[in-house]
Amino acid sequence: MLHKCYTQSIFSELDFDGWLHVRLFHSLDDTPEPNFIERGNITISSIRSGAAITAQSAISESQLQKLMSLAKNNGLYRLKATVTTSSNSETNFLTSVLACNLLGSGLEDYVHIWLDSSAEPIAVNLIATGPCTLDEPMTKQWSTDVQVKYPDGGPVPDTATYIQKLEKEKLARESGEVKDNRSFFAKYWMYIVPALIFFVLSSATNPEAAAAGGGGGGGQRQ
Amino acid sequence: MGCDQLVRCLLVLFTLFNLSFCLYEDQVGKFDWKQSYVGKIKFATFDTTTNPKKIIVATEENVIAALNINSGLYDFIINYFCISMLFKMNTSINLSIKFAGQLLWRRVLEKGYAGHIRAFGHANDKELVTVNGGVPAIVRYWNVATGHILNEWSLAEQNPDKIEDIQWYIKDGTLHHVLPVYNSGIEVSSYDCKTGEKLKSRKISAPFISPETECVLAAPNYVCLSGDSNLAILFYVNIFELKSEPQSITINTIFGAGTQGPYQISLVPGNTAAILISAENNRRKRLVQLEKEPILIPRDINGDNSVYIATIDNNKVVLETSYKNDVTTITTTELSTSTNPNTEKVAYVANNVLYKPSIAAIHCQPQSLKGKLCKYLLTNEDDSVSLLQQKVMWTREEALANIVAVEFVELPMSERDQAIETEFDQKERNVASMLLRRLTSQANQIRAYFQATLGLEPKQSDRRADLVRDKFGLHKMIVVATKAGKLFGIESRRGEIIWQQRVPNLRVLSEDPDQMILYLQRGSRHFPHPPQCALLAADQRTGNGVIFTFNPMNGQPLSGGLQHLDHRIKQSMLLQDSIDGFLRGFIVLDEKDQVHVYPKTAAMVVASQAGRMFIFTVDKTTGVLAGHSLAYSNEKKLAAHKVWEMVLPPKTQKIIHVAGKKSYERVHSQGRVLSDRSVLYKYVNPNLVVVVTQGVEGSQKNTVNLYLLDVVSGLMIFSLSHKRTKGPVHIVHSENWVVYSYFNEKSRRTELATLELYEGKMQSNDTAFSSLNNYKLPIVERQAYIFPASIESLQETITEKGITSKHILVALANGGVLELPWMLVDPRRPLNPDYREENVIPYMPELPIQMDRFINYNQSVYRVAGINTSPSGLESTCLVFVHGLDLFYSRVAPSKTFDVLKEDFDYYLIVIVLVALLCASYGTKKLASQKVQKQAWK
Repeated sequence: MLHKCYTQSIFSELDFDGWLHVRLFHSLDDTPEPNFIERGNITISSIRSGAAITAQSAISESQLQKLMSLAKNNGLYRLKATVTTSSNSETNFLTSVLACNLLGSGLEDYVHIWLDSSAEPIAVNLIATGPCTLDEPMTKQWSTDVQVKYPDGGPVPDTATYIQKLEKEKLARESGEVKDNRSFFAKYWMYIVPALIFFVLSSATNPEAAAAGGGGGGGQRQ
Repeated sequence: MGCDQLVRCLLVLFTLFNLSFCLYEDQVGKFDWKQSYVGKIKFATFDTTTNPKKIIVATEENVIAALNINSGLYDFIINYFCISMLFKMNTSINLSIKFAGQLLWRRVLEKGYAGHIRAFGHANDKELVTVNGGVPAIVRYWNVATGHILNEWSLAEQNPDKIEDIQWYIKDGTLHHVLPVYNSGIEVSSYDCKTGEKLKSRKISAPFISPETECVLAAPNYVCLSGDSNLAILFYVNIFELKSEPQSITINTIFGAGTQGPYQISLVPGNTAAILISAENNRRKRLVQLEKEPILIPRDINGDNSVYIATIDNNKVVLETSYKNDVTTITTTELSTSTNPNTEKVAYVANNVLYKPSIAAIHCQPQSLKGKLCKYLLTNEDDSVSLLQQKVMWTREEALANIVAVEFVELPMSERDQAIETEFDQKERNVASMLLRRLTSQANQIRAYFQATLGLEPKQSDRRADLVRDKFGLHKMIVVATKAGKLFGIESRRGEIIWQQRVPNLRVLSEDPDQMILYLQRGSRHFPHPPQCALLAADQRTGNGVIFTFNPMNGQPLSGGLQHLDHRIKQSMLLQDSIDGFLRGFIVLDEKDQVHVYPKTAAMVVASQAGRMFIFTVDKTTGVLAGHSLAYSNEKKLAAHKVWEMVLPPKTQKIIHVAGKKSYERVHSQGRVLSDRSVLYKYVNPNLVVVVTQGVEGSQKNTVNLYLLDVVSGLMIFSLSHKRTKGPVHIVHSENWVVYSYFNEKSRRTELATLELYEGKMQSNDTAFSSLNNYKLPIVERQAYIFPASIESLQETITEKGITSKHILVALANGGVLELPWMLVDPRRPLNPDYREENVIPYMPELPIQMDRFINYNQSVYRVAGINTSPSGLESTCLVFVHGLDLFYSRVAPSKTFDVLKEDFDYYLIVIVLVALLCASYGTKKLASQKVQKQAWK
């Protein structure tokens, strides 16, 4: 299988496609110095499509016990990933998750392989979604979802759309006034509403005073 | 009479000045101050022919400036007057009021290598020549009196690879370009200084020059030292005589037999050609004068002393400066009577301003050496520069042109408040003693009151009365650490230097950008404990860590003072929790990833928090980023173990920035309300760090990459790559956003981009954020804008509670500091104006630069190296300190001063209105009751 991938990569190396081979080692010991044992491996035949084949054997009983005691001590499960690329360079990465989260997700985890813009691996992240439990998982089989991630293109100032917008506005202005087909109320609500409020307030607060004022005015006219 | 005229003219002048200011003229200089510096002096020369008498200096910071010799106020006024009238208030002339007129003019040349000053000299009395840059070399011809460039021409370098070997020599208006060619000879080309016309060129045979020889130009001789530490030979050749032949002297002729290498040669500064040869690792030095024929001076010069050679009263005089036990001594020896050296002491100064000084320039009137009246310009090892004439006339703290760390420290309480604080000290609970204490303290207060009212002299204190905390926390102490290893305490109201402290043999922890670390371990709020700061730097010789603990109020060492560590400082972290006495310790990770804690007693705090403590390291050379947990630490032994590691391969990219958030930052608003009234929650991860890299070669060369990384869990959150762009990159990381600038190669312009991170419509955990349990990748909003100016530095404003909106301070290359509302760089600014949200303005690709948004109005600040912001006691106000070649301090209020009454607030009016209303309400109440009574009677 590896051979097949290699022949494929010859054509696609130019536009940054290639394969990756990842060997996974994990440390289940609750000690500062990790003691890595092999967990399995991942082969990504094409980094662009992200198609991955994982080969991992089930976790043994003794390993599971270790993992559970690690979880009990709120320890971190450490994973070492050795990544070989199509240009045959080998890089080691280290990542870790809370052991209890791994138990909680039932040995189901995600491996994110991050590449830089020249398709060199820069980080391998292990993610276990949890929740944090100390119970024995239902299964002893690892189920790993592999994703290859590469950098997004940076944003660029959007001048084209803005110029288009300006031109459109200019055209509209040249072809005559922009037709305002909103209703009378939609157009002038900002004048109507305050006037209405003022009217309502002045009449509601002091009807007598208003009446008296009117009376007084009338008196003067007489 | 003359004085009267002067005052009148000054009045006219100031009215003119006022006219030219059109905005907030009454606020100019009220909340801000500016100080101008030139940097470490490289070349200096006295100019006494033009008025005022001045010293022209060229510095390591690529600056040419004129310093006034006399610093008296009267001189200053005259100078100010003359220069202002001459140039009709030309604002490009830098006048500094704060330094009593020391800086007459200053010209800032190109930044970095292109502006590197290589030669400096007088063409005639009134004109000056400088050569700077390399490929091509730029020759400038200056008017000394005004600092104006009279002519400028460039010289295309034929041999750019040999740029470091090229020497320049300026004499009598001719510039000589001296290029040594290995194993062959020396090519000398002469140019007219002013016009750049090539006068002549010649080639002198000098086969002794090879890549191994050490050469200096002691014009007219070109001198090289060749050979190893056992047998060294000094070769020299006159480069201005056509038929000159190389000559040689063996080292034994100079030192006598039995000296050991390694030998080194250096040029003696001054106006006479002479070199200094040092032997036995700089322990012995001998002077050789090379005017025509070499004259050996058969006398040892102490390796620590510096030497200057001058012509005074037609005699060649060697001036030797020595520094021992804070005392500077200058001795002279006349060269003409070298057979019987007559050494005379001309200056003996015990002033702690001077520190290992050397003479940069000297000026003597005839017969003044005998009368000890020469003026010496001394450059000290702490980068300061002093003028010595019998006593130290003035000193400029040029170390401040290279600030590497800044910390704002709150001032302590006044003594009265401290007395009250002691009164309510909660330590003792005994009723009787508390009563006694209260009575004594109140008696003291009464006594102080009577003393004050009767005008008696209060008890003398060692503290200045004005250096106390104010109501709004606006007055602070700015503690700065400089590259020269000198610490300063600058008071923020006027910019006065309160204290300075030299820490010997320091260097920065890491270069590019230069880095030293200042930690505020204890603030001023914990009376009677003094505030405490710690400076983390490296030792000059070994590179091991150095910790200097001091009181930020007076610079005096505290608890241990200077500690030399036996390991390097790779990473450090201030602890969140304090030990006894409210002191916060810090941990240091050394090059072997061992953990150390300072002070040692803080180990307990570390051990109790160890499970939650993580520390990350970045190695710029290998590109390895690693995270360490302290979970396996206990009180006896602190240990870090690696929990994650990633590699940014150095063959494709180079790390240029690692930007975290400020640890004391608070985010007030957790979300953002959208137009449909739903809330978009911010992704506020305090452990998020942005790593910026620049591609190094090939197709990756012109890319800028950003990686957003959670440094606790080691998870990569987001990555981004800008194609066809390059540095310089400036970055600000705060709350849930990142703003950064870069240069777009394709469009040839500076752009400003923003990233904003959101969790989405649901918040994962609304009480506390945990990096280890948060695995959801945030939504990243992004937008880029054209920024129509060149950026030197970026920083965000910060306030105490984070309620005030954020602004971004942008230092521009033209000297302005722009206050840019964050709203303008909001990545959610919509292109289509129909999708409008609250407080979001429609998108426009270019950011406007409004002139009234410059916080430093016309006080241009050049070569800004950094902007530091600090919250004040007022939520609305943020303190800003800009440093570079100039220091500028001001305060900004991004959401206007909503918590302060305006200065012109009319207190009387509001009191009158209130009183009137009160009276009216009482009056009407009475009237109303009368009316009711009347109605009841009806």
